[in-house]
Amino acid sequence: MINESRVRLMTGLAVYEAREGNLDERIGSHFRGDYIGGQMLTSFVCATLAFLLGGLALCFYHFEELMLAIYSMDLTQVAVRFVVSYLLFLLAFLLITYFVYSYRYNRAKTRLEWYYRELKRLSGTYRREQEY
Amino acid sequence: MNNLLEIRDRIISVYTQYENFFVPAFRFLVSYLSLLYISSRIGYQEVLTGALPSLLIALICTLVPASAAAVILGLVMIIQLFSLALEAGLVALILFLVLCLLYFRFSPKDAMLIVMSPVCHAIGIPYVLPIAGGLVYGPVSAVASAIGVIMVSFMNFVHDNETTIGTTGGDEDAVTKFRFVVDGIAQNRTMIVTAAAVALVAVVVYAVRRLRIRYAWYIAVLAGAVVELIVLLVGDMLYAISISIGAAFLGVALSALIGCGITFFLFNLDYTRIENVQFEDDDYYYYVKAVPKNVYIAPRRTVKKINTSRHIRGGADAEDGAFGTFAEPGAEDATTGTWDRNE
Repeated sequence: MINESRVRLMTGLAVYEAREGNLDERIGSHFRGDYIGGQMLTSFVCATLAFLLGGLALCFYHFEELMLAIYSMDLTQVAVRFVVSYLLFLLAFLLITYFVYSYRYNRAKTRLEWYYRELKRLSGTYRREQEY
Repeated sequence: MNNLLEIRDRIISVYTQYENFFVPAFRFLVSYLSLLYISSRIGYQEVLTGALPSLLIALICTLVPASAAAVILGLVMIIQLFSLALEAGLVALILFLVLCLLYFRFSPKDAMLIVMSPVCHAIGIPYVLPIAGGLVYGPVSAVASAIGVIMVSFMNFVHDNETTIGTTGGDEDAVTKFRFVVDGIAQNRTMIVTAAAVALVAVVVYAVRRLRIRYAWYIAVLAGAVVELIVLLVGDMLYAISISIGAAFLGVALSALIGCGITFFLFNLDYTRIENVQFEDDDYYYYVKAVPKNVYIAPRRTVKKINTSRHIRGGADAEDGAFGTFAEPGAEDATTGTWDRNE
């Protein structure tokens, strides 16, 4: 005879596995610091490339002015401004990355805890059935 | 109301039954229509503008995740723009790469809003995207909605200035054209106001729908629509942007209606039957407000069987105490039989 509560339990677990299960497993296999650190490293590379691209586009946009003023401009001041802008941009992006991936890690962990709890419940139903 | 709930239930049951068909079909349709829109505005590369290539690309967009579909649409745009002029393609490529590095890096779930953006703009309801995003996804859909607006405005700008951008010239001309294209985006006040409006709406809709108030989702839709109109009106007054207020009003009203439709399907509660319960455990007192869902209760059909307990026998068998025949009222072929007198 079909055990309805067990079918319900298994359906819930299967739905979870099909949707977020795989991703959560991958996230959950890391320590929190490792996971967020890895993502921040990726974000560091992405932000640097994006900033360089933006800078390149800006240089091309002001190409004529740049060519005219390149010998008379204070290069140290330009470099300082460039580095400060880059650091501010990087800081903002890394902060966003930290919050986003902390949230994702915590959410994945909470869901995985639920998943393992439900799996225990499921195995409990089998055990009880064997005992009877 | 019960009829509406019945229709809703039927739609949901049909959808769940054929979900594997509906979802890809919807994605294919949206991708194909978006590609058609792109072709109609910036269709400079003939290889990509035909019906067959569009169908093939739409098919690929159906098979990959939504963020990958948005990336494919972006690539199609870049190729089309490179076919017109190197500078236009370069600006599009830089924007696209920055977007990939900063936004798609987070693998957002709301990238479908970007894919839908050209279609919604084509039918005059771009304002539905932030409302739907705020209801279904979250405040981050502000970014996707704004990207959609920028993408469509960029295409429209290139379409309107294709003769200027498409003319060939020397190296100096390349810089001038590059500046012209960048200015076309950065100084497009209509685009900036619209992008700000949709971004704000997504945040407002999300913030209001999370409030613990009655009809929060409906109020969120209404608040989003009002904020959208206010920002557009203020933008129009301050910057004299080229937005038709009548069309915007109609678009916002239609978007609000669609938002109400989404709410009806996703968050339909019966606030007349709220229950406030109170209980406690060892550590806490709990004050819980339980709002029941609006569900359709199918009327129970009762079948009355008039002659179940009676022994119906054929005329030839009726011997003991038989006294007559009967016919079911309304029946075309009257059933004949006998019943026992003692019963």
